[in-house]
Amino acid sequence: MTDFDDFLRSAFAAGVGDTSVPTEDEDAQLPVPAHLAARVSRRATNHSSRLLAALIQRGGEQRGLDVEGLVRNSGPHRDRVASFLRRGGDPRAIPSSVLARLLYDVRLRETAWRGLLTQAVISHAIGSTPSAAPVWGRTTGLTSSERLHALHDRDLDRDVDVAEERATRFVEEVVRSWTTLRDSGTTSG
Amino acid sequence: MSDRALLEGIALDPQAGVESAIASYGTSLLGRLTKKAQRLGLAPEDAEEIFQDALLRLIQPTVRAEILARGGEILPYLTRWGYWRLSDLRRKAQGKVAEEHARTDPTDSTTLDPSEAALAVERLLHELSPRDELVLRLRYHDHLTNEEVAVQLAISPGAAKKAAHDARRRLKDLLIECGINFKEGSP
Repeated sequence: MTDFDDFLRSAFAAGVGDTSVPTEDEDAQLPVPAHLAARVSRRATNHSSRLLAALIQRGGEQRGLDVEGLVRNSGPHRDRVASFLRRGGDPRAIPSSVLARLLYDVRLRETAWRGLLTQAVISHAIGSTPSAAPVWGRTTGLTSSERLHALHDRDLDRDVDVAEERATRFVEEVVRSWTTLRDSGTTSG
Repeated sequence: MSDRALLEGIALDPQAGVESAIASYGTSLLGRLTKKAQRLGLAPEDAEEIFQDALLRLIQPTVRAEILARGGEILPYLTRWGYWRLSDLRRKAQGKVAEEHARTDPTDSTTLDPSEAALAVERLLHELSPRDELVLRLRYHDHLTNEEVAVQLAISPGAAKKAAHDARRRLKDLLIECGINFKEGSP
């Protein structure tokens, strides 16, 4: 128990409440410009992959492995691993056994990466056309591709069930390989 | 769609989930962040950047766990996080930390009674990241152990212990910067 612990206990006991709900500007409203919504939506597609790549990189750094080191340990698949670590993308571009080796080498817990990996695969397996979200305001001023996205029949190319099935299959392959590595305790050079 | 359902939906289709969040909360979130940015003397573009980052945070499973641990409401969480980022941006732009609080905080005495200490802590909690604030609230307001915090945030007990340690250190730094001495004569 430290002095600061005591200070905090006293302060909270004396009435520090739940400060999680902001009260400022509660009624403020500003329509989201179409270009801004489209940008968030585009980034969302690859965001799970980028988060997973960043997680792997942080794990590697804690074990003294930079990106070059992680790539070096990926043998003939180093280009694909490098691309994933730097830019994200579809994790299925990396063979499941290689991805499992990567995750094992940086000693990430399964609970830390499994959800993100599943999301990352779903995001790329689900199709490139946005779903049944609303069209945000006018489409003038958008680029051609943004306009296409905004006006497209947004359900056409998306099948969440199929994407989830593909993701589950791939993630299970990774988990199997990762579990084998964990149980055997092997490390790559 | 309830916030809880929206959060669960993001795991199944991150892009559609984020689009739903924009449809449900985008107008309020952007309005709040833009007004806050104006008050802080920041540009509307700063608010837009943070608006994007806030929504993309929903894609992180650990952030969704944090929101659920706070009661499951999305807009207050995103607003709180966005405010923190905007304040942080301004502090970085100014190159100094918490000067405003040091100047205006009524608890800048070195001897605080418990209610003054509570006021100081409550004000400075807003200067911490939402995650730091949540960890401290779970530990000191809800009296959870590190193991229980770990369950709430879906992280390991070791990570929860480190998170609490780091959050305490950051709050302590802020208190010191505000001239608040908690070692002597304070509760």
